[in-house]
Amino acid sequence: MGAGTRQLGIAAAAAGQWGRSPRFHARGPAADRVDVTVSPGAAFERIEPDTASWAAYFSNHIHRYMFAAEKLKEVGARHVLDAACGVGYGACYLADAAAVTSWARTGMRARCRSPQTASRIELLRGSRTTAIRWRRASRLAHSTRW
Amino acid sequence: MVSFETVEHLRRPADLLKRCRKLLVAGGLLIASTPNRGAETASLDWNNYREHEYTVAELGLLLAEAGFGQVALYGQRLTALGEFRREVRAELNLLRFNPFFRAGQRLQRLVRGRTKPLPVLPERIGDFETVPFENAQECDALGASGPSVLIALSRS
Repeated sequence: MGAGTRQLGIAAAAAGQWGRSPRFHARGPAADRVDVTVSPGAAFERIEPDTASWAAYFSNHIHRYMFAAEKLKEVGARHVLDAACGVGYGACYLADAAAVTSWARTGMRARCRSPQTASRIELLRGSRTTAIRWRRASRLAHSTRW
Repeated sequence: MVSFETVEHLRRPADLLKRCRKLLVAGGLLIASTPNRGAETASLDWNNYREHEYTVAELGLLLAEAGFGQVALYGQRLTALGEFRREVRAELNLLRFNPFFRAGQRLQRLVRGRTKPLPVLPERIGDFETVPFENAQECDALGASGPSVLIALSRS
């Protein structure tokens, strides 16, 4: 693999595989990896808390998550995988509809606004990917503050 | 499964979508979004993060290639109030080039103890709406006035 090439193990984070080991969740078997080639030096376009882009685009992004939560409720989804979730801010909104697994290549912030919810998340780390399972998702609190 | 603003960053987005389809349970739902290339806000010319931006027709083809048969299309756009706020915001941001305004801002930051200026008229969730489209042609026909973001709901 050349520069700028990454392998992602999204299968590891897929909802429904809750009983496997954290290592499996974080990395996934080689056969389940997806080759994803990104431009060298341009790996992320991501909004992060306490930045100008966060202030500018947070509502834009959250509106989509609220729409998704509505649709997931309609179909009666039980588990949701948020693939390429950025820093993971969408989980609280999706949690309205189902239990959520958030997945990102790296740099996810395992925070969900309040000390109560912080104790309910499990951070799963791998060499290149990070996944978070949001447990007891129905009790996650909504907030736009990080 | 949800994957917002992802496929435009990938050189082989079909790989990801095929994997998503394989992971979904029968009848499972993939909700994916990507910027609308036809819209006024398309930014591929200056946005180095993105590999490709898609029109509705191209997105439909991509999902079909990954094996998704039923695709419902939605577009995210600004409401009329959101458009108004965006225009006002753009005008207010022009003030930042005024040296007197900048000096005033700096003074305020010193007095109030802030290190960063607050955003001017920040976007609100209520500034956006999501509208359904019957087919790709209906959305693509809107051209630059089309939705800034395409959202596809695909059944496995």
